[in-house]
Amino acid sequence: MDLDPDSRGSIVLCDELKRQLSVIKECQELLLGNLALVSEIPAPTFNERERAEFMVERFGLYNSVEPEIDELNNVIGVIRNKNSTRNVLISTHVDTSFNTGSDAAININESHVFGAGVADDNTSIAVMLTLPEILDRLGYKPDFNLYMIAASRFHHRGDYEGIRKYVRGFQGKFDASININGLTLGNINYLTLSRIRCDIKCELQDNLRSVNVIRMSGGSAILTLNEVMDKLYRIPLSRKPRTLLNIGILSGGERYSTVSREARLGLEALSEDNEVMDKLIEEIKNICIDVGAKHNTKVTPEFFGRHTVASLSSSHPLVKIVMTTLEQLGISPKVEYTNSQMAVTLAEGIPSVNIGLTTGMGGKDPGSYIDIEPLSLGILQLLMILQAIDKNGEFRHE
Amino acid sequence: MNEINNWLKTKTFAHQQFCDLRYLLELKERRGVKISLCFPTLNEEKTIGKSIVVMKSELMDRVPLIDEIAVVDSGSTDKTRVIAEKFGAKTFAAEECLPETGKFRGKGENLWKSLYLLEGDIIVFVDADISNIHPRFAYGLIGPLLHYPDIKFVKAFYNRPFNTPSGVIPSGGGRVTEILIRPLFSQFFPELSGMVQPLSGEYAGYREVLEQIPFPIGYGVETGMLIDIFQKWGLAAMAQANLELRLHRNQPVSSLGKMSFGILQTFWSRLQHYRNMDHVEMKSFILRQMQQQGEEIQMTECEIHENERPPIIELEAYQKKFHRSIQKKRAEKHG
Repeated sequence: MDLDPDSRGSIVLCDELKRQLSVIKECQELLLGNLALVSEIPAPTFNERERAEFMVERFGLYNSVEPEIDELNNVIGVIRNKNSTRNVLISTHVDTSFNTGSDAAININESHVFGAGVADDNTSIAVMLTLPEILDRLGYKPDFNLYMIAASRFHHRGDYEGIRKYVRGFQGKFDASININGLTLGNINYLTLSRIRCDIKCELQDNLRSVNVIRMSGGSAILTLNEVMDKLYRIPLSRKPRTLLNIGILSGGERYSTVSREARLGLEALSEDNEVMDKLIEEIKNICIDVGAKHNTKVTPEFFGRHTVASLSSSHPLVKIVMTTLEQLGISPKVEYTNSQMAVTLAEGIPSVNIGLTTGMGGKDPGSYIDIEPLSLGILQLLMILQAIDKNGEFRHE
Repeated sequence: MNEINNWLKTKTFAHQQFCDLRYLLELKERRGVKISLCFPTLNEEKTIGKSIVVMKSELMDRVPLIDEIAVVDSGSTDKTRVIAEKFGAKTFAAEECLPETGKFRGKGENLWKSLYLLEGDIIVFVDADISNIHPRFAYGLIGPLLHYPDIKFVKAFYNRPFNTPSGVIPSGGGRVTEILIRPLFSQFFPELSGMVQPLSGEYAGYREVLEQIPFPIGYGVETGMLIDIFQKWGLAAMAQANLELRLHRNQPVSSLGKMSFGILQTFWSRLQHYRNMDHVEMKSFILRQMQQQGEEIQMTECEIHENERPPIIELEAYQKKFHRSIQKKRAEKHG
């Protein structure tokens, strides 16, 4: 995907934007250096301290940034403007979805950066760490207080706790929030769905725990869980408002020769309607009770990570700013739902958008990658949005 | 024993002692020296990009501690040189440098030619296959040289877990060191037995030292360098620095056998030269190794000549390029 306006010559940038793009490109090696170093530091959810300390040290290199780590290992860098009461938030998350033992080493070739977590979202962290350098070199100081946060506890059971706690505890109000993702440049998200996550655990009852008895009865936690799955997928889901259910995690059993005593699944359900989601949660609970009773098995659902529907309208000034920016850069905007950290800021009443910084392929295997070339354009996009917010004055939340 | 213990206490450092890069820069400017970083390469496309990006961004762009980064390549057939150039390293094909001196292939050859190609008064050598590359691999070695004027050469050591197809194995590197080098040093050059990792591929030294020693072109370059520097300048001019964790590829035992064969040639030549042990004579340059093929055991033969380059200061081209200008610089300094 060739998104570089200079190389294509099809998009005419004004001299000022050309200057900004050129400064961003000058900072490319610093950015890739930050990406390489941050990717080497493990940060599984709930164990983000080491990476957070690295980020604070990096922010501390700039006189313009006030760095801080809070008790949850959220990393915050503030570029303060003492003459302004306006506050703008740029957010990403500091944690990775894989454990410390995973090989997080990255490879850089002439056009890509490969490695686990590079695309989601170590690139955003690297951009955040390089942003003070870019702003310094551009001589641009926003006419608002710019808060950069790499929030902890995003993945898994962390359930966005870092950003939620920070935003709720913030003394003041944010006028706008931009959540940055590694992927995909051109995406703009300002709609979040109602969401629930649920772990369902099947355990054989104590009176059936003798292997011989189980074999005689044909019982098995995996078989029970299989029936739960069958029933989950038979739930009629509404097409309007759209509702989805996905079983994303499955585990169980101990050995080939042993009847499974315990099995688990993890599911996520999304809906455009909060009431539909409430009903779906009730149905899941009922399935667990029914199947458990039928097989004399303990089937326990544990719900967490509830988000409610929230959105900006397409006429909101912040959405307009992002749309216009993408058009100016010759990129067709792609509007999608997302349940990024933006879900939290939107739910807290902050006008919020989610944008991507480059192209590539996400994932936690070493084959996932980002494209280097479009990254400069992705950062220019971010700068243009900040400058437009600067000019725009205060936003009204809908 | 006392001398080794004393050396271990006074000349063993940790990279954390030198992480104040601004202060290192100040020392460098005070000394009026230039620093070059060299990556000797052969088909390192997987790791060279990151190595250059990390070193250049942290030690050139952010803090200008290093003045030049170069790749001296043995004829890679992959994209090593393309990637290195893309990220701003000077790249050189070893065989195109000093063609009148003939062609050899090996890491030692690249290092020797880098002395001619690079401009620095301090030269840092870092292997290009480190998957967890970090600026400490350079500043941890530069630090002792800038802090202590009596130190002329610094060798790295580290924990060496290695990467295997099934993941990272916590330790086990340094097999040739423990089985071959340490026993040999203990017997013939006991002063050097305080070196934790004599075969580590990362070291830094002043040009005035490196230009005066011969360079084995292959496996023996690290061993030869240590012995030669020790013999000419003594243990007090040498130091070692702990660079912590180093991840690298694991080598099969057959490769370690070849490495040992080359190292032994370098070692015998030093015994002849420094210990007058003329009766040590190599009968063969062919390494024979046994391999199991199904039910059969087969013998493989591999010819390994550990050729050596003379001290580069003896080369007229080198004298022309450096010593005239160095003399001029000295003359300028003195008046």
